[in-house]
Amino acid sequence: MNKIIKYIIIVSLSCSSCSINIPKEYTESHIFPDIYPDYTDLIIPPNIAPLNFKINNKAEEYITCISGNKGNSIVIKGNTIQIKESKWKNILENNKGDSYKIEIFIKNNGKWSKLSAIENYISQDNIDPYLSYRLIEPGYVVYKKISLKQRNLTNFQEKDIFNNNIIADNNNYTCLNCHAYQNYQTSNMQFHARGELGGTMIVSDGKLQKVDLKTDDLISAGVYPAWHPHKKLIAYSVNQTGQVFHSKDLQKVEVQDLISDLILYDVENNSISYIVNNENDLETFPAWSPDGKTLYYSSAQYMPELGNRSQDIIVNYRNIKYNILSIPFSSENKTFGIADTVFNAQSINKSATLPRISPDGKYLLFTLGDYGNFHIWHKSSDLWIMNLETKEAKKLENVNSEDVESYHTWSSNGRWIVFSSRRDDGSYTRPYLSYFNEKGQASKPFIVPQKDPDFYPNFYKSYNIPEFMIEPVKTSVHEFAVSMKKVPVKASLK
Amino acid sequence: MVTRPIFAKVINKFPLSSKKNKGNNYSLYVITILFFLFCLLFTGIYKKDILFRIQEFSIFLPGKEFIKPYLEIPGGLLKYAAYYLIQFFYHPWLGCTILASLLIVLQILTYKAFNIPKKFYFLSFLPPTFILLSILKLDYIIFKMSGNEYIYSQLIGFICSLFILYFYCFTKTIKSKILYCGLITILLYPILGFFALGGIILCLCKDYKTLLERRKILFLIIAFLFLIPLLYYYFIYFSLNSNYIYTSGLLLSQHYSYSPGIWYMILSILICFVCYAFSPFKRINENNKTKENPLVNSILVFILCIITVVFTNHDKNLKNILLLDKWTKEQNWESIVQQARKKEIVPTPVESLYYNLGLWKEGYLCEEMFDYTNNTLFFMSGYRLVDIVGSQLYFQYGRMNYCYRWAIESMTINGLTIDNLIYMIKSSLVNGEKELAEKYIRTLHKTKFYKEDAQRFYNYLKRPELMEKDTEFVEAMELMHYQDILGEESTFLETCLLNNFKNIEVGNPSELELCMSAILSLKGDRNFWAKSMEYTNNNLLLPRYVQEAIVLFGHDNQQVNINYFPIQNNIKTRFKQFLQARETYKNIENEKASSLMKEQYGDTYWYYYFYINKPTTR
Repeated sequence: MNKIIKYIIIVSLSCSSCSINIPKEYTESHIFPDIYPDYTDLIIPPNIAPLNFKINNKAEEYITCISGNKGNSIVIKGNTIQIKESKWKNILENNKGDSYKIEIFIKNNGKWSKLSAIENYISQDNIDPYLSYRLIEPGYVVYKKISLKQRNLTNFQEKDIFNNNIIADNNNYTCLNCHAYQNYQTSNMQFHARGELGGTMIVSDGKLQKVDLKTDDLISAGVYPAWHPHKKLIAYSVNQTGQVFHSKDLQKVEVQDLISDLILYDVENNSISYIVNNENDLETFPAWSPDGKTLYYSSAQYMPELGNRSQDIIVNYRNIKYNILSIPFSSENKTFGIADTVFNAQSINKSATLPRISPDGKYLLFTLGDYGNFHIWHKSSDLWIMNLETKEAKKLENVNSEDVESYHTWSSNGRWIVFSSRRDDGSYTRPYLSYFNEKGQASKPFIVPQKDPDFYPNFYKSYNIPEFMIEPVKTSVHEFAVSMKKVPVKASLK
Repeated sequence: MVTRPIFAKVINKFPLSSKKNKGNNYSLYVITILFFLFCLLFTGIYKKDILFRIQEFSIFLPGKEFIKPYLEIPGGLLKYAAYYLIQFFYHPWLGCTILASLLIVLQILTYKAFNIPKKFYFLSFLPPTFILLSILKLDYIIFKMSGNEYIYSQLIGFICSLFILYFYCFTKTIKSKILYCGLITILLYPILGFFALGGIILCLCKDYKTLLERRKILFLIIAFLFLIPLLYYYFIYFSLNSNYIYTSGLLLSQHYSYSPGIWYMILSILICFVCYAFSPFKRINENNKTKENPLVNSILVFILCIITVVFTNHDKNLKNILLLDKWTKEQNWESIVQQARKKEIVPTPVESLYYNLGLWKEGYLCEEMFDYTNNTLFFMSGYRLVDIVGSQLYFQYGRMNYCYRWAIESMTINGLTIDNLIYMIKSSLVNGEKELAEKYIRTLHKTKFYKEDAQRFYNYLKRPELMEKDTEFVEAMELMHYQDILGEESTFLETCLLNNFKNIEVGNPSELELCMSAILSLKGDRNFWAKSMEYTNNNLLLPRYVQEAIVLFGHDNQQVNINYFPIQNNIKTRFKQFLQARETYKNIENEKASSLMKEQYGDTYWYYYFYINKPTTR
């Protein structure tokens, strides 16, 4: 009985606060609100920044009431809904584990009508407060201004981790890529710089060093990184990559590995050793299991048919299919065992890349496309999930679109995933978040919120490699800049 | 005692005043008005095409996202203001009026801020003349510059520096001087960058006598100038290279290494200002209060105008390229063909590509092309054809992926511009990438002068059947019935186009013409005879160069009976003469022989075949 009274009080209070501005007379409409970004039927983190949006339904006037089932409400006029952070936080805080409702009233021909209500669920599980990514134009060969950013997901603050403008001289810009962290923490992190001031910037226990990972025997410096969860070790792929263009296909470009291997870099000893180095295999995208005892990666068997390797790969590009393999690792003597196939994509005529293991070690999340490894350009690519206990793999329901879904990572508590998608316009990659429950199901994804709801349509850069962090990067942009200008320390191959 | 600058000694001895012009205060302003008219007419008539193109190579958009990058470095807002003003070159006369007006503001401020004596009135025209020259000297660099905004950013910057100097004159006490210099540096350094610091330096130069007597104050102000930007660098700016802390906002030589002349003009203004600041103009004014000499000043300003005209970039090829670009956008093929036939200038490969497009559209490609191709100049090194006409030509020839690629690459390097945005829209529309096209159209719609174009594209988006009534789109789409090829190199525009044309699936005479032109340009192909037969089989007239090629290849290939083809007798006769001439010159060195043959046979395919290199990697 007490509960019912409490509920009535809360509802009446929330309605009374709404009734200040909401129209007294209106008709119920069954039209569903057309809002951008699509923030409908979601599960959202209780610590996320306001999900601001724009109403596209045509009307003379708009009034929107956002209210939590357990109380608190906000009333906003106009079709651009920008919610005050403090009020939004109150709603989320007080309605954790419950829903909030968005009621939109529109006025046409002097009469008010109420659109169908939107209801979103507020999860009990927090999302990691920081997300880092690279911002770059979706260009092909050339690049200019590139920045690595860190976004506070609990508000709208975005800061540079590093940008190449600060070291650009005489129109020479350095390419930045592949930022990675150890266990979501930033005291051990790395990213690469390519070009004139090239090298790998490694932060180890907060100390910064520029390292040259290219030795005479390696086919390239380290490319795709994976920090060991507990040790000062980084697994890298080394890749010789080619890029070729389609004259008509709307996927426009193919990025292919001509040769690739896996290496292990020992940060403390500044030494490199091979993990796998098979001439006829293309190994890439290493990822550690949370216990650090297994390394997962993608691998394609490649048997040259024509004399010229690169020509052969271009001609047969649709036949190159990657499987997901794992290899056991002994952290005591830093040795690897024998590789085993975890997911045989080739057997279903597909190609699987970017393995990522959930923090509880139960699930393997990966990208599945028709062929090749650079799935960010493949419209066929979707996110798949594999239960590592049952070995059952399936397309991750609710999250995929008709366009590209690719680069994905888990939050530190395993309840959220972030991934890159080109669903908005087919070209500019955007970061999407989705809730992942204990049963292995994902909820409808939503785009990372921005203060201005019109931000993404007006933004001309892609979000690359979204990675969660539990803390901001502490090394300053200027510290990176100073270190970047130094001569790198050369790593040695064992 | 402070040594008097040599410059001041020189100008003091220079007798400019005359009794005749005493007291005639308005005459100087007439000079200003005449200079304004000169700037307006010269830029409006002679440079309107390049200024219009510069406007296309930039964009100004309202909204936070557009302004944000300009706040990331000191002086960035000058660029923002510059882009705002550049957009008015869409209407060249309007743009030129704004430009001329600002040049006059610079002139008047130079005159006022440095207290230039009336008899040296012409000195105030030097800075605007240098700015004007820096604009008029623009050449092919407009296709390469990552920002054409310097046209206005430097002009506004110098105007602001002069304002800082002008208002400094109102500070009478030492305290107010310190306060003024400190506040200006703190408040205006983020907005003006170098020009805020430059303004303060001019104040120090002008006031050096007073400040030298109070050296502590001088050092304090210099410390402001040194430390405040440094503090901004460490606490506010995270995108600023430490090398440019004090020069951010100023055009630097390395930014325009391809056209050093532009940088020299800016440097000249800096030197002018420093000299003026150290000059004892104030004392001269006090000694010769009413003296002025409008006649001498007029003559000197007139000389400046003559110098401007002389040192302007008069490159006819550049002018022609701009014209051809304009006609291509208007689909005015007839004018392009007429321009080619005039043969007034030796074309660059860019012009040849435009000529070939015009000739093809008008149906004269295989009839006339080698008449121009054989006379093409080698283009300046450092410029790739694809950067200049890549998107435009790839669109015209139905290569939408390449059109889009080079528009995107241009956006990556040069930033979003009207030019690359329009090609991103066009190629996305043709490719049916609706969401992408809509994103770009929405941006174009935000511009001041391209709303109508945006609306037209929006109509195409919503009703694609309208696109089929637009000849530009239709003709491009008609060329799109080719198979996807992976791995083709589109960086080398000419060879890429020729390889595409060579393999085109011929469906009509126009495509046959394109295919044959490629076969001829590539100096033959196994399909040559089959394609030649298509002319006769379809009762099409054999174009001149196809006839010449048949005679040439038939001469080498005895298995082919060239009598099957209707070859004009004069072509057969001329070919015999050509072979005889070749025989005659066979012992002469190649270059000389080529030159001699060109005089007689420079308009033939045979000359192209034997003496001109195939397009390779331009």
